[in-house]
Amino acid sequence: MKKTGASRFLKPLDFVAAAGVLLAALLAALPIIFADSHDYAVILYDGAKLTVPLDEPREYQINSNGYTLIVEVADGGISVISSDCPDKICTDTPPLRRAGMSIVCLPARVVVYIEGGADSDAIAG
Amino acid sequence: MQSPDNIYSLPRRVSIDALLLSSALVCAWLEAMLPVSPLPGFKLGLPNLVVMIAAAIVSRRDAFVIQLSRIIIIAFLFGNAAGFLFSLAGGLLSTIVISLLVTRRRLISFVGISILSAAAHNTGQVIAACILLGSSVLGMYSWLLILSIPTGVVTGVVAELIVSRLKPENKFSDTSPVASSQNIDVCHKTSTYKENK
Repeated sequence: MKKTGASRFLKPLDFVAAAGVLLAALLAALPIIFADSHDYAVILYDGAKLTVPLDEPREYQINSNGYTLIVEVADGGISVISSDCPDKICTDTPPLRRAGMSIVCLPARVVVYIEGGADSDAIAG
Repeated sequence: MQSPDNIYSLPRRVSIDALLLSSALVCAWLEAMLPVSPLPGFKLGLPNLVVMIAAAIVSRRDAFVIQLSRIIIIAFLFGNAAGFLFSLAGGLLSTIVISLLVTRRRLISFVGISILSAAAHNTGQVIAACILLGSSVLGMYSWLLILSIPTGVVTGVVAELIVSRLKPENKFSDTSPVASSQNIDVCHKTSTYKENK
Protein backbone atom coordinates (compact mmCIF):
# COMPACT_ATOMS: atom_id res chain seq x y z
CA MET A 1 0.00 0.00 0.00
CA LYS A 2 1.85 3.03 -1.19
CA LYS A 3 1.11 6.32 0.37
CA THR A 4 2.87 9.59 -0.09
CA GLY A 5 4.48 12.05 2.27
CA ALA A 6 2.86 13.70 5.21
CA SER A 7 -0.69 13.46 3.95
CA ARG A 8 -1.14 10.05 5.48
CA PHE A 9 -0.36 11.43 8.92
CA LEU A 10 -2.41 14.57 8.82
CA LYS A 11 -5.83 14.77 7.33
CA PRO A 12 -8.28 17.66 7.53
CA LEU A 13 -10.37 16.30 10.37
CA ASP A 14 -7.30 15.82 12.56
CA PHE A 15 -7.07 19.56 13.03
CA VAL A 16 -10.78 19.70 13.70
CA ALA A 17 -10.35 16.97 16.31
CA ALA A 18 -7.48 18.77 18.04
CA ALA A 19 -9.37 22.06 17.96
CA GLY A 20 -12.46 20.37 19.34
CA VAL A 21 -10.54 18.87 22.22
CA LEU A 22 -8.93 22.23 23.01
CA LEU A 23 -12.33 23.87 22.97
CA ALA A 24 -13.71 21.25 25.32
CA ALA A 25 -10.75 21.80 27.63
CA LEU A 26 -11.47 25.53 27.63
CA LEU A 27 -15.14 24.96 28.40
CA ALA A 28 -14.24 22.64 31.22
CA ALA A 29 -11.91 25.25 32.66
CA LEU A 30 -14.44 28.07 32.69
CA PRO A 31 -16.07 27.17 36.01
CA ILE A 32 -12.64 27.29 37.59
CA ILE A 33 -11.53 30.58 36.15
CA PHE A 34 -14.60 32.34 37.41
CA ALA A 35 -14.72 30.73 40.80
CA ASP A 36 -14.47 32.52 44.10
CA SER A 37 -12.18 31.69 46.93
CA HIS A 38 -13.62 30.48 50.15
CA ASP A 39 -12.24 29.95 53.57
CA TYR A 40 -12.78 26.27 53.95
CA ALA A 41 -11.97 23.15 52.00
CA VAL A 42 -13.46 19.68 52.02
CA ILE A 43 -11.59 16.40 52.13
CA LEU A 44 -13.61 13.39 51.04
CA TYR A 45 -12.14 10.05 51.97
CA ASP A 46 -13.38 6.48 52.39
CA GLY A 47 -16.95 7.68 52.72
CA ALA A 48 -16.17 10.35 55.31
CA LYS A 49 -16.19 14.09 54.77
CA LEU A 50 -13.90 16.43 56.59
CA THR A 51 -14.35 20.18 56.45
CA VAL A 52 -11.14 22.03 56.93
CA PRO A 53 -10.62 25.74 57.57
CA LEU A 54 -8.09 27.32 55.25
CA ASP A 55 -6.92 30.01 57.60
CA GLU A 56 -5.17 27.84 60.15
CA PRO A 57 -2.01 26.17 58.87
CA ARG A 58 -2.13 22.52 59.84
CA GLU A 59 -1.40 19.05 58.57
CA TYR A 60 -4.03 16.37 58.33
CA GLN A 61 -3.26 12.68 58.08
CA ILE A 62 -5.84 10.91 55.96
CA ASN A 63 -6.06 7.14 55.98
CA SER A 64 -8.19 5.92 53.15
CA ASN A 65 -8.51 2.60 51.34
CA GLY A 66 -5.20 1.39 52.74
CA TYR A 67 -3.22 4.46 51.76
CA THR A 68 -2.00 7.32 53.92
CA LEU A 69 -1.97 10.86 52.65
CA ILE A 70 -0.75 13.98 54.36
CA VAL A 71 -2.77 17.05 53.48
CA GLU A 72 -1.36 20.40 54.46
CA VAL A 73 -3.12 23.73 54.80
CA ALA A 74 -0.70 26.59 54.40
CA ASP A 75 -0.88 30.14 53.08
CA GLY A 76 -4.59 29.97 52.44
CA GLY A 77 -4.16 26.96 50.17
CA ILE A 78 -4.46 23.22 50.61
CA SER A 79 -2.34 20.51 49.03
CA VAL A 80 -1.32 16.90 49.42
CA ILE A 81 2.29 16.89 50.47
CA SER A 82 2.83 13.20 50.73
CA SER A 83 1.12 10.00 49.81
CA ASP A 84 2.02 6.35 49.52
CA CYS A 85 -0.21 5.75 46.53
CA PRO A 86 1.31 4.39 43.30
CA ASP A 87 0.27 7.21 40.98
CA LYS A 88 1.42 10.28 42.91
CA ILE A 89 -0.82 12.50 40.83
CA CYS A 90 -2.23 13.90 44.07
CA THR A 91 1.16 15.15 45.25
CA ASP A 92 1.90 16.70 41.86
CA THR A 93 -1.24 18.81 41.82
CA PRO A 94 -0.53 22.38 42.82
CA PRO A 95 -2.17 23.79 45.99
CA LEU A 96 -5.82 24.74 45.74
CA ARG A 97 -6.80 28.25 46.52
CA ARG A 98 -10.10 28.66 44.75
CA ALA A 99 -13.24 26.68 44.21
CA GLY A 100 -13.34 24.56 41.08
CA MET A 101 -10.02 22.75 40.99
CA SER A 102 -9.66 19.61 43.00
CA ILE A 103 -7.00 17.17 44.07
CA VAL A 104 -7.92 13.57 43.45
CA CYS A 105 -6.20 10.40 44.54
CA LEU A 106 -7.83 7.55 42.68
CA PRO A 107 -6.18 4.59 44.44
CA ALA A 108 -6.93 6.04 47.86
CA ARG A 109 -10.34 7.36 46.80
CA VAL A 110 -9.60 10.78 48.25
CA VAL A 111 -10.92 14.05 46.85
CA VAL A 112 -9.87 17.45 48.18
CA TYR A 113 -11.78 20.46 46.96
CA ILE A 114 -12.91 23.91 47.92
CA GLU A 115 -16.63 24.38 48.18
CA GLY A 116 -17.82 26.26 45.12
CA GLY A 117 -20.63 28.67 44.53
CA ALA A 118 -21.05 32.42 44.56
CA ASP A 119 -22.45 33.07 47.98
CA SER A 120 -21.33 33.09 51.61
CA ASP A 121 -18.51 35.60 51.16
CA ALA A 122 -20.50 38.16 49.27
CA ILE A 123 -22.09 41.03 51.05
CA ALA A 124 -25.82 40.85 50.49
CA GLY A 125 -27.04 43.41 48.05
CA MET B 1 -11.11 -29.46 4.65
CA GLN B 2 -9.98 -26.00 5.49
CA SER B 3 -7.11 -24.67 3.52
CA PRO B 4 -4.37 -23.49 5.84
CA ASP B 5 -3.64 -20.69 3.46
CA ASN B 6 -6.93 -18.94 3.81
CA ILE B 7 -6.09 -15.64 5.38
CA TYR B 8 -9.56 -15.29 6.79
CA SER B 9 -9.57 -18.51 8.73
CA LEU B 10 -10.76 -18.42 12.29
CA PRO B 11 -7.66 -20.04 13.81
CA ARG B 12 -5.50 -17.42 12.16
CA ARG B 13 -7.70 -14.66 13.41
CA VAL B 14 -7.64 -16.01 16.94
CA SER B 15 -3.85 -16.23 16.80
CA ILE B 16 -3.48 -12.67 15.64
CA ASP B 17 -5.90 -11.49 18.31
CA ALA B 18 -3.89 -13.36 20.94
CA LEU B 19 -0.68 -11.73 19.76
CA LEU B 20 -2.29 -8.31 19.86
CA LEU B 21 -3.69 -8.96 23.32
CA SER B 22 -0.24 -9.96 24.56
CA SER B 23 1.19 -6.77 23.12
CA ALA B 24 -1.54 -4.77 24.84
CA LEU B 25 -0.78 -6.47 28.16
CA VAL B 26 2.92 -5.76 27.81
CA CYS B 27 2.13 -2.16 26.95
CA ALA B 28 -0.09 -1.78 29.99
CA TRP B 29 2.58 -3.29 32.21
CA LEU B 30 5.29 -1.06 30.72
CA GLU B 31 3.19 2.00 31.36
CA ALA B 32 2.70 0.99 34.95
CA MET B 33 6.46 0.67 35.33
CA LEU B 34 7.38 4.03 33.84
CA PRO B 35 8.36 6.67 36.40
CA VAL B 36 5.68 9.28 36.94
CA SER B 37 6.44 12.39 34.93
CA PRO B 38 6.32 15.85 36.49
CA LEU B 39 3.08 16.45 34.62
CA PRO B 40 0.22 14.97 36.63
CA GLY B 41 -1.92 12.49 34.77
CA PHE B 42 0.43 12.07 31.83
CA LYS B 43 0.02 8.65 30.24
CA LEU B 44 1.35 7.46 26.90
CA GLY B 45 -1.72 5.43 26.04
CA LEU B 46 0.19 2.46 24.63
CA PRO B 47 -2.56 -0.15 25.13
CA ASN B 48 -4.82 2.13 23.13
CA LEU B 49 -2.25 2.07 20.35
CA VAL B 50 -2.55 -1.69 20.14
CA VAL B 51 -6.35 -1.52 20.14
CA MET B 52 -6.29 1.02 17.33
CA ILE B 53 -4.03 -1.20 15.26
CA ALA B 54 -6.28 -4.15 15.97
CA ALA B 55 -9.29 -2.20 14.78
CA ALA B 56 -7.49 -1.36 11.58
CA ILE B 57 -6.02 -4.72 10.69
CA VAL B 58 -8.38 -7.29 12.13
CA SER B 59 -11.85 -6.01 12.85
CA ARG B 60 -13.55 -3.58 15.16
CA ARG B 61 -15.25 -6.37 17.02
CA ASP B 62 -11.87 -7.93 17.73
CA ALA B 63 -10.60 -4.58 18.94
CA PHE B 64 -13.37 -4.52 21.55
CA VAL B 65 -12.55 -8.04 22.64
CA ILE B 66 -8.87 -7.21 22.97
CA GLN B 67 -9.55 -4.02 24.91
CA LEU B 68 -11.98 -5.68 27.33
CA SER B 69 -9.73 -8.68 27.86
CA ARG B 70 -6.78 -6.43 28.51
CA ILE B 71 -8.69 -4.41 31.10
CA ILE B 72 -9.96 -7.50 32.90
CA ILE B 73 -6.60 -9.25 32.97
CA ILE B 74 -4.74 -6.19 34.15
CA ALA B 75 -7.35 -5.62 36.83
CA PHE B 76 -6.84 -9.16 38.09
CA LEU B 77 -3.07 -8.86 38.06
CA PHE B 78 -2.52 -5.36 39.37
CA GLY B 79 -5.66 -3.52 40.13
CA ASN B 80 -8.30 -2.82 42.68
CA ALA B 81 -12.04 -2.55 42.29
CA ALA B 82 -12.18 1.21 41.76
CA GLY B 83 -9.26 1.17 39.33
CA PHE B 84 -11.00 -1.50 37.32
CA LEU B 85 -14.16 0.60 36.96
CA PHE B 86 -12.25 3.68 35.88
CA SER B 87 -10.23 1.66 33.37
CA LEU B 88 -13.35 0.02 32.05
CA ALA B 89 -15.21 3.28 31.58
CA GLY B 90 -12.29 4.93 29.85
CA GLY B 91 -11.43 1.90 27.75
CA LEU B 92 -14.96 1.34 26.53
CA LEU B 93 -15.54 4.92 25.50
CA SER B 94 -12.16 5.02 23.83
CA THR B 95 -12.81 1.85 21.83
CA ILE B 96 -16.22 3.12 20.76
CA VAL B 97 -14.59 6.25 19.38
CA ILE B 98 -11.96 4.16 17.61
CA SER B 99 -14.55 1.93 15.95
CA LEU B 100 -16.55 4.89 14.77
CA LEU B 101 -13.57 6.53 13.14
CA VAL B 102 -11.25 3.82 11.92
CA THR B 103 -13.18 3.16 8.73
CA ARG B 104 -13.19 6.82 7.83
CA ARG B 105 -9.50 7.26 7.37
CA ARG B 106 -9.92 9.11 4.16
CA LEU B 107 -10.97 12.08 6.28
CA ILE B 108 -9.22 11.54 9.58
CA SER B 109 -5.85 9.92 10.04
CA PHE B 110 -4.62 7.83 12.95
CA VAL B 111 -3.40 11.02 14.59
CA GLY B 112 -6.91 12.42 14.85
CA ILE B 113 -8.36 9.07 15.88
CA SER B 114 -5.73 8.78 18.55
CA ILE B 115 -6.34 12.28 19.94
CA LEU B 116 -10.08 11.68 20.12
CA SER B 117 -9.74 8.23 21.61
CA ALA B 118 -7.34 9.53 24.27
CA ALA B 119 -9.79 12.34 25.06
CA ALA B 120 -12.60 9.78 25.18
CA HIS B 121 -10.59 7.62 27.55
CA ASN B 122 -10.04 10.52 29.92
CA THR B 123 -13.68 11.52 29.62
CA GLY B 124 -14.81 8.03 30.51
CA GLN B 125 -12.58 8.00 33.56
CA VAL B 126 -13.80 11.43 34.69
CA ILE B 127 -17.41 10.35 34.29
CA ALA B 128 -16.75 7.24 36.36
CA ALA B 129 -14.93 9.32 38.95
CA CYS B 130 -17.84 11.77 39.08
CA ILE B 131 -20.25 8.95 39.75
CA LEU B 132 -18.07 7.41 42.42
CA LEU B 133 -16.43 10.42 43.98
CA GLY B 134 -18.68 13.35 43.26
CA SER B 135 -18.52 16.16 40.79
CA SER B 136 -15.51 17.95 42.17
CA VAL B 137 -13.13 15.99 39.96
CA LEU B 138 -13.92 18.24 37.03
CA GLY B 139 -10.95 20.44 37.78
CA MET B 140 -8.48 17.92 36.42
CA TYR B 141 -10.57 17.22 33.36
CA SER B 142 -9.51 20.32 31.47
CA TRP B 143 -5.84 19.56 31.96
CA LEU B 144 -6.29 15.91 31.00
CA LEU B 145 -7.97 16.92 27.76
CA ILE B 146 -5.11 19.21 26.86
CA LEU B 147 -2.64 16.41 27.59
CA SER B 148 -4.44 14.05 25.26
CA ILE B 149 -3.37 16.07 22.24
CA PRO B 150 0.40 15.49 22.33
CA THR B 151 0.05 11.89 23.44
CA GLY B 152 -2.53 11.42 20.70
CA VAL B 153 -0.18 12.77 18.08
CA VAL B 154 2.64 10.47 19.12
CA THR B 155 0.44 7.38 19.31
CA GLY B 156 -1.23 8.23 16.03
CA VAL B 157 2.04 8.62 14.17
CA VAL B 158 3.27 5.29 15.49
CA ALA B 159 0.02 3.58 14.53
CA GLU B 160 0.20 4.95 11.01
CA LEU B 161 3.83 3.88 10.64
CA ILE B 162 3.05 0.36 11.78
CA VAL B 163 -0.15 -0.20 9.85
CA SER B 164 1.15 1.20 6.60
CA ARG B 165 4.16 -1.10 6.66
CA LEU B 166 2.17 -4.29 7.06
CA LYS B 167 1.75 -6.32 3.91
CA PRO B 168 -1.84 -6.62 2.76
CA GLU B 169 -1.77 -10.40 3.06
CA ASN B 170 -0.97 -10.10 6.73
CA LYS B 171 -4.01 -8.07 7.51
CA PHE B 172 -7.51 -9.37 7.94
CA SER B 173 -9.38 -6.35 6.87
CA ASP B 174 -8.16 -3.30 5.23
CA THR B 175 -9.74 -0.29 6.76
CA SER B 176 -7.56 2.00 4.73
CA PRO B 177 -9.41 4.82 3.04
CA VAL B 178 -9.52 3.01 -0.27
CA ALA B 179 -10.63 -0.38 0.89
CA SER B 180 -13.15 0.74 3.43
CA SER B 181 -15.23 2.13 0.63
CA GLN B 182 -15.65 -1.45 -0.50
CA ASN B 183 -16.99 -2.40 2.92
CA ILE B 184 -14.82 -5.43 3.53
CA ASP B 185 -16.17 -7.07 6.63
CA VAL B 186 -14.01 -9.81 8.01
CA CYS B 187 -16.67 -11.18 10.32
CA HIS B 188 -18.90 -11.81 7.36
CA LYS B 189 -16.05 -13.38 5.43
CA THR B 190 -15.18 -15.78 8.22
CA SER B 191 -18.67 -17.11 8.56
CA THR B 192 -19.19 -17.61 4.85
CA TYR B 193 -15.92 -19.47 4.66
CA LYS B 194 -16.99 -21.99 7.23
CA GLU B 195 -19.95 -22.91 5.12
CA ASN B 196 -17.83 -23.71 2.12
CA LYS B 197 -16.40 -26.87 3.61
